[in-house]
Amino acid sequence: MIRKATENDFEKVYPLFEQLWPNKDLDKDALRIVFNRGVHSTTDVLLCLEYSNEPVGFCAYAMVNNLWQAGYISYMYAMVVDEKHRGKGFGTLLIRESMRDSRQKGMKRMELDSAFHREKAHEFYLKLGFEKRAFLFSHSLEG
Amino acid sequence: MIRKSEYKDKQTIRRLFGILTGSMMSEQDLMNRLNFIENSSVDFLYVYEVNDSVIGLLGFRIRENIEENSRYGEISVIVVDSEYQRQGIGKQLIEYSEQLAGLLNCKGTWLISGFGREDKAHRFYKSLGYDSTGYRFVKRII
Repeated sequence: MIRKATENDFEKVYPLFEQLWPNKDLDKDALRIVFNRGVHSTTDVLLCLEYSNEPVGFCAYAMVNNLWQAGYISYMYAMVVDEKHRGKGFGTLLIRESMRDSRQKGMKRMELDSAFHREKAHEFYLKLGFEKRAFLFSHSLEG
Repeated sequence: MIRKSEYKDKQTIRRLFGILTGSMMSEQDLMNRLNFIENSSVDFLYVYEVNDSVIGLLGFRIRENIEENSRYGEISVIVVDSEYQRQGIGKQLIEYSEQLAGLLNCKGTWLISGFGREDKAHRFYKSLGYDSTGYRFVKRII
């Protein structure tokens, strides 16, 4: 079952974030604040996929205005399925539901960024009809 | 001089967008875009002006990042008039966006640059300390 996440889901979704960003020192309290802000935001949607009453998949996307498109697009900023439950089509269900909801809200396209090393994820997105279009460049202002 | 864009700049902005995308947008499209920025609390548009003519454009947006619980500055648009390229104007625009990002407590800046711009744009970003770290995936849903 796919449903909107609530504040109560944070504790159970947190281990999924640890799987998604294994090399990162996560600040749990700060992450909780961002999670809750997403839950209550009018432009963000946070979805949980439940299996045997446990959230085993999570994704988050936001409606963002886009100069290039001159319209709103749906930008997915987190997407993860529990390692123990991969290969069962749960990710596909989450993406499909996000696309259905975004389409219904009038968004023209869905976009997401994925780091070079996530080759399995890239295959997954291509299979779902995403196109690899551009490079992401970033620059730190720290240090 | 870099300043916020104004209504009077709109035809120049349209022309600069045309240089970037290779096709001229309609008046209506332009107005939609400008209204967007006007109504958004996180989007800003700046122009680079020399002797009363606008020759560069910079779009800047504040983006929250769930992974790092932090904000980043996104360079949503950057373009310099063809005749004025290779004179350091793009560099000044990028540096301006980094100053804005710093003032707005962002941890860094990022931008998306399409395949096929390797020769000029990508080399330019790399020379300014930008590293490419991933791909942008896109799917049309309507």
